Amino acid sequence: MSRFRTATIGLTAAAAAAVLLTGCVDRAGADTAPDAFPTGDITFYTPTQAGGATDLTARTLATALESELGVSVIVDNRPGGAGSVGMEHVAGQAADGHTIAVLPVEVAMLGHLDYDTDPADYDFLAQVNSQPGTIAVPADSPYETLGDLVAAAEAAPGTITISNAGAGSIWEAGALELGSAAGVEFQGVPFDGGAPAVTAAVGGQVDAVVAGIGETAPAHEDGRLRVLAVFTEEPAPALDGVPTATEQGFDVVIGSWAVVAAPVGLDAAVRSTLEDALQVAAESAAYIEFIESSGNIPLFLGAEETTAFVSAEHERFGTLLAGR
Amino acid sequence: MSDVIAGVGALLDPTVLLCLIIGTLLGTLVGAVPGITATMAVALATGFTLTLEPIQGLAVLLSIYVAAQFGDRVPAILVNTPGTPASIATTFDGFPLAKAGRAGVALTSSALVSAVGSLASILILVFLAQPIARIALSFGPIELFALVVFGMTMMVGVSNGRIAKGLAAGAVGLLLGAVGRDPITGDHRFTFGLPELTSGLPFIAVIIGVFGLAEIFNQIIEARRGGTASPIEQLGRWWPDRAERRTLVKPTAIGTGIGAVVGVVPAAGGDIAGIIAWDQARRASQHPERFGKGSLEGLAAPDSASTATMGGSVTTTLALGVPGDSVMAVMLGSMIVWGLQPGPSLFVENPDLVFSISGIMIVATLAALGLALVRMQGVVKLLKLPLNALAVVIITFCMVGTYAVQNSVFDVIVMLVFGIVGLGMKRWGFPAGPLVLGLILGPLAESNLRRGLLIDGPFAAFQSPIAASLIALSVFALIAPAVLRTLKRRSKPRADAAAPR
Amino acid sequence: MTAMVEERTVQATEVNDLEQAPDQPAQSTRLREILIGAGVVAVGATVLLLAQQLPAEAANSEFGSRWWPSLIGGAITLLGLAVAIVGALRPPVRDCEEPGATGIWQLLAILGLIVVYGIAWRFAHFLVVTPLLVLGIMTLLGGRGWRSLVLVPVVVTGALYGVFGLLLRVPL
Repeated sequence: MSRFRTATIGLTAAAAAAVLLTGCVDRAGADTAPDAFPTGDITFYTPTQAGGATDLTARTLATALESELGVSVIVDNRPGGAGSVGMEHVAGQAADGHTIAVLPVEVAMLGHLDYDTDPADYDFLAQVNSQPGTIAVPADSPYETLGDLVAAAEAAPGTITISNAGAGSIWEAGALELGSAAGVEFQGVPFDGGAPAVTAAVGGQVDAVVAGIGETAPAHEDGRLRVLAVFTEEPAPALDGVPTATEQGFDVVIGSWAVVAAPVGLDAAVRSTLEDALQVAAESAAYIEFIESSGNIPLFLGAEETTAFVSAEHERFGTLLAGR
Repeated sequence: MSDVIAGVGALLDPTVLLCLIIGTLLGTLVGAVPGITATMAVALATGFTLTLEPIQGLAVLLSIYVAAQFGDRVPAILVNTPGTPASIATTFDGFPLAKAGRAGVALTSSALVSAVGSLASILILVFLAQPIARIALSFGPIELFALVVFGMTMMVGVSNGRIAKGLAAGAVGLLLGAVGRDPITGDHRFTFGLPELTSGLPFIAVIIGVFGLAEIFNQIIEARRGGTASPIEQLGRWWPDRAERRTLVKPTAIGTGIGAVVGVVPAAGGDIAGIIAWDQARRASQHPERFGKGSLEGLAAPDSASTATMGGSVTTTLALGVPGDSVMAVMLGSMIVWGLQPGPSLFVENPDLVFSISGIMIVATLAALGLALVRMQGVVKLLKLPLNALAVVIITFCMVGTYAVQNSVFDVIVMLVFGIVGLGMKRWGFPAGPLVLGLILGPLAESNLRRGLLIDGPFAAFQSPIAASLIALSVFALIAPAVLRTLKRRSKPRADAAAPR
Repeated sequence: MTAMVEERTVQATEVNDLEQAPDQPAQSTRLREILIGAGVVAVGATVLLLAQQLPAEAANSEFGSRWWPSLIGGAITLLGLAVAIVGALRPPVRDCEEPGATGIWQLLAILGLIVVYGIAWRFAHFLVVTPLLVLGIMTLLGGRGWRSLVLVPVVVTGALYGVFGLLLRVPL
């Protein structure tokens, strides 16, 4: 008897939770003509864990894509190997438009870091956001400007420590880029992800941190860190009053970004359907609000511009990472 | 005071209660399923809770976080498989207790001490959040390295008398932890060209393999022809009697204290706290010889410790904006999107939030405790299944649970391989605890040491008072037992049965 | 790597021979313990060898990607010697029962079934292949009657699909 009761309670709970979690997504919109794209559910891969920034980007876009395309868009996380596992999985899928993926900046980097990832394996559909890089120092640091920090590194090469999100991460590349632009040598300290790297700077264990604006802006706001420069062309809205590196005489523009891609060989009509749907999704209020709330910059670039952008970045990381 | 009223008052909304109940049920469920960790459940739920109001969303996420700590004890005790890494140390004494026919008392005691640990640590959160959080920030790489070294000394205790084999298993664990990209240079090590291995061996798959699958494989091998008897014949009493309750007090106090401290340290969570607490309780116990063979004390210490890390982790997260453990790292992301920026300013701008969060955690603890006590008698019926059905349930749930962590078949293969490795270890007399300890602590030790060396040079460990004292403590922990034993042997010359195990 | 595997297999067969010796139920033998220790030494030596093929340390620091694996490899080698010596001096009591021949075959057959299942899953839906796997394992382990061969496969598959497929939305 009690076994039966337990089972009933369990099932009811499961059902209730499933209903709540599924929410009110409208699944009834698949009334398109049989030969038109899409003909079935779309799998939207992310090469990262559930819950991270890239995953949430995919999930927010997926909701908008569902109503736009009239089919279910199912987010599928394939993390591992710094994203290479998921990226290689996507590259091996059929190029029928029912497989798309959010790819982070690593797609242009991993090929230079002993992985088999190659941007040529994908048809890029859109760039959907950019996450500017920043450099920040502990609140009680003696360095008030980027010039101060560079001067200190000039005086004693290799002693100024800069934490970053990990070996081969975009923020390690950011610190390298700054070092080469300023002609000085910093001591990079790779951590296991952005959060611990920022923590090390807040705790004063390192002299500075290079991290995404979403990670440093909140700490700058409440005075735990001081952001010295933003690595963008224009000053970033999330950090009012903080100058760019270029304004301070160091030509460094680097950041993370996310693009949406499909396996290479997409039909032109399918590609433009997806591109249009992505434009609507990336310009939806929910998506813009989500990206802005984490301090990043929502944007939409079409397929052609994105392809050119990714290949330019790929080339640039090739020279930058060769110098590690 | 008005903050308290505002904070707790926010919880009176019936939708908050509904979210709490759903979170508690989900948390208990995912906790009990091997593979799915609290981190993963919270991460999956994040996609949905972001659409809710902050308080409702926090109610779901925090109650998953709390309840998973109760659910994961059940498979750890009953089938030697930790539901989440936080209950690794639960298996050390929980499973022997169950095999000895005391599963009932073990489950009830575990739930009770877990609740005590959780409630005590939440009180710490309420009263001491800011001063404690400041300590956390002084834990840089070199201090973390020293803490990890201290954790590694537990390999001796966890070896259970078989020191040479235990340390060998621990060293192999360290080796397994070294698989993947070098944490500093990014070079690929022992990956044999497999991209899956560059992010390291999936340690949840390894844990499930060496603990859970190895146990069931061993039972299949040992089963006599036609014998399909369940390994656990009886469950015994449910409630601990007066004498048993008394033995729970001291290890629970030790566990709660250790858990509260470890919880505050960024990035150190319930798994490490549980193992440290188990070893410390063993040292403090009057019956250390029973540890690892079915000691209630050895169950109470790690269980209270791993729940007690929750208060500390939340404290660090809220007061510093620095994730206290992996679940908090995920939750931090949600809070930022909700516009609740954790950090010192949170206490100025949203003082009531601390009380709302504590309130949610207290209610979730009580709900999870209630659920644990009510539901267990039903869940435990599982064990009345004959061996073949039990084996099927364990093998399939471990397989699908491991797959679900990263949607990866590779992880399932790793789990099966380590099921066989674990079987070999069991048959050749190697304890599994040190292997897993090495796998978890190895990467932390290497990466933090090397970071420390990059930052402060070769004498880093001696320049930090925290690091230096932790290392001194580690040396003491290794030497003291040997010295004490010698002293005891001198004062008591009668050859006490140093039972060769 | 192959050397290690070979070492392991040699060791495994010999140990199995010993395990079938009926007159030594509780105490492990010296030979067995020394072989186990030798196996550990072989692992350690292999690691030391493999570690030397890792990229060399950068010029400016002595702690590159090589030293930690080398340290571990050395430790494993030494501990393997310790295992052999301790085992030779005082063979420990074994806390496992003797394996039955049927049990070993059953385990191998189950592992084989799981491999077949993994392959079949690429072509057929989870809900189709899983009941067959459960049915196979149940049959292997001596399950008979409709409860074991129908009810268990259906209930287990349903529970797995409910928890993972529906509730956690894992793509199965």
